[in-house]
Amino acid sequence: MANPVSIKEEELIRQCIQEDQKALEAFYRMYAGKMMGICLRYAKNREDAEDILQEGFIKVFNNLIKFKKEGSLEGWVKRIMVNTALLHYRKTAKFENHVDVEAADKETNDLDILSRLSAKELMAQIQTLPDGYRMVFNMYVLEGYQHKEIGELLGINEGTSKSQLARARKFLMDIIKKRDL
Amino acid sequence: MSYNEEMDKIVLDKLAGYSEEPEPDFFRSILTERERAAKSKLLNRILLIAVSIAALIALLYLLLRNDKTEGQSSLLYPQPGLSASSADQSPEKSGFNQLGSGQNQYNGNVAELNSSSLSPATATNSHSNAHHKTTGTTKQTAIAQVNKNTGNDAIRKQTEPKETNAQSVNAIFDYFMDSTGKCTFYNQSRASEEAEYEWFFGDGSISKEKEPTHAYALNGYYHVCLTVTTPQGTYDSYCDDISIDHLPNRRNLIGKVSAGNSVPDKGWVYLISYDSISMVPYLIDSSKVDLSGYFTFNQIPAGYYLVRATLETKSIHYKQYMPTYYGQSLIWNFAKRYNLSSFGKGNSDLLIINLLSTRKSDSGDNTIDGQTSTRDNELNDDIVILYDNNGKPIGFAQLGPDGKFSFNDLPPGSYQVFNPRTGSYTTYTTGGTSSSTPPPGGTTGGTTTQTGTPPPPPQPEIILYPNPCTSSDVLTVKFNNPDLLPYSVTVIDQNGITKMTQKGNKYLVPVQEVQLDVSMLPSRNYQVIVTLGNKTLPSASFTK
Repeated sequence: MANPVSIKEEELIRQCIQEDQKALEAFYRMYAGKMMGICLRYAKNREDAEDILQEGFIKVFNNLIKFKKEGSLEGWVKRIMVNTALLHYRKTAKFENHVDVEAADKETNDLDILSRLSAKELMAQIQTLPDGYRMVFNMYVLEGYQHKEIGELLGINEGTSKSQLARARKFLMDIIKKRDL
Repeated sequence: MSYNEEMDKIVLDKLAGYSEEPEPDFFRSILTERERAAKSKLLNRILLIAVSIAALIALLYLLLRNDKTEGQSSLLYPQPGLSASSADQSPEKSGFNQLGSGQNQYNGNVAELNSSSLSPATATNSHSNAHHKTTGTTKQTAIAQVNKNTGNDAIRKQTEPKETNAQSVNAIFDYFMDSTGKCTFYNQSRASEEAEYEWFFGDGSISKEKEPTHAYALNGYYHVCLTVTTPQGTYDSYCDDISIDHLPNRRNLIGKVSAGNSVPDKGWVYLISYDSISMVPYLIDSSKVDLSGYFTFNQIPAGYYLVRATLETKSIHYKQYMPTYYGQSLIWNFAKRYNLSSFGKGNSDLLIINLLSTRKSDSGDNTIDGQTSTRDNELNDDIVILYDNNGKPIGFAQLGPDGKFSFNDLPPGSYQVFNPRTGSYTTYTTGGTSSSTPPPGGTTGGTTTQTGTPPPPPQPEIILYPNPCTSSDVLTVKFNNPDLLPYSVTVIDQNGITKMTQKGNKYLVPVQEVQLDVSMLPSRNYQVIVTLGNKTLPSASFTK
């Protein structure tokens, strides 16, 4: 990769490391909205999301000096947010090695219901997923992790990750369908 | 594109770029909280440095005193008067004037000093803020300033102000613990690139990696220390107590399956666990019975399980095999609730499973064998239901290929077997006083049977299956409708709220089977109420 960190970014990081308040604020403004979006997906509610966001930004600010300008800055910030979120729910999440999930009647009609939802509504539904389901669903569908990676990050085996994902999908579709009734 | 892929795509499209602004003053709260965290860390550090300096002054004093009292008396047994006189000569604070009385006393004083000077810092720590977050994982418990040198050199070095260490290095780490006891340590130390790291995980193992992972095998407290050393020789240590308490006690479950005369046989054993809230059974593991009849489940968390065993169709015993029952399950050939206790002896529990249950016991026959003539060959899940003397259903048995069924290990008493397909009841008696009349079914065993039309039938309660209704979206409700009355079937939840109702006034038959689509019901317990005409049958419950 050539140099994914732009000159402007590099200057901003440098100023942030020097604890320049204006730079820190600019940095914050750059990512707050997007990162809040990520935190909301992993959180049960807005309060939790704000806690994760706060903790995440503190970690980001404290560790900017360690940011190796190899990957994108946004990717790095995002990774810290996701890790912070995982840390947040690690204790409460239950990962059960369920027997195979029964095949849900997969109707394209259901997907229509799903696609009619607004992003905000969908977010609210995702927040109702049990912690374990929500983590795996987010990591797989939105962060694009493979089951093997999810397994490693959450300390579960690949099969459990797969069954959590299947359960999460069914759970999500069920609540969305019910809501639509 | 598959259904799942399409679903993922829709979710991704909607949420990938989702952005929502936090509260306007949120940035302020981040700064405040960050400052607070840094301050409390700094305070802890200053405090520890102060304590170690105090300890060194005390040590210095002790050594000086040692020089003076040399040749006079033993250091270990100082005379009280001596102690007082040396205090006069001492430039130290009065708090230290008893230090001369021995090593033990000296330790005590430092400990006291430590705890008293800690209190202001603790007060500062407890200062909270709207967004104060305690992660519970990064609790800073101790910071140690380790000095590897010993003797007078060390004292001289330490009494110098801390700031003379020009090469500042700052050791700190954070960690992430997963459910299997594996810890990933995130090294957040501030140090130059060439710095060296040394980790002590508190269980005897060490690592020199920068960001190691370490798996703890046992529950407990671990004092984890990181020491960062720069090439210039400056170093810093940071320690944290990690508590691991969520690792389950694991044991092996070893079993032996026997069939008939303890002949080992082919089969499978399944270990099933229940979700304690939803009572959903899920398969933990399965094990094929080996040639000697043994099976093993290794490293299973302690707890309650259902152990289910089935014979393989290739088994020589398969034809003689009689199904047994467990609870309300219809299909389990052998099932036993087993408590794998974490307090058991050794590493393993031994469980004996006899697939062909005892036919005879000292008190007589405790088995009900029978045969139905009405088995529907189209259906493989025909069952008969066993009622006790009070008309309460206590078990189910699946009909064998020839229409035979068997209930084993029953306490002596009178029972009724209900055949849902015909609606007929048969009374059986088990126990020591059994007569020698062979049952009409032709099976062996000394049960007394009276076959025929229902004597006073136990109230034809509602039969629900599958129950728990987890693997199926359809719940079948079976009940007798001898007078062919219009019926209604209602499902209510625990709060008495009606979830669904189905009414029928056509196609009325003596044994009514009503299928309900329960796929939309959340996983809970429900009651099913059936009314026939104006009469309401005793309700039945099921778990979804």
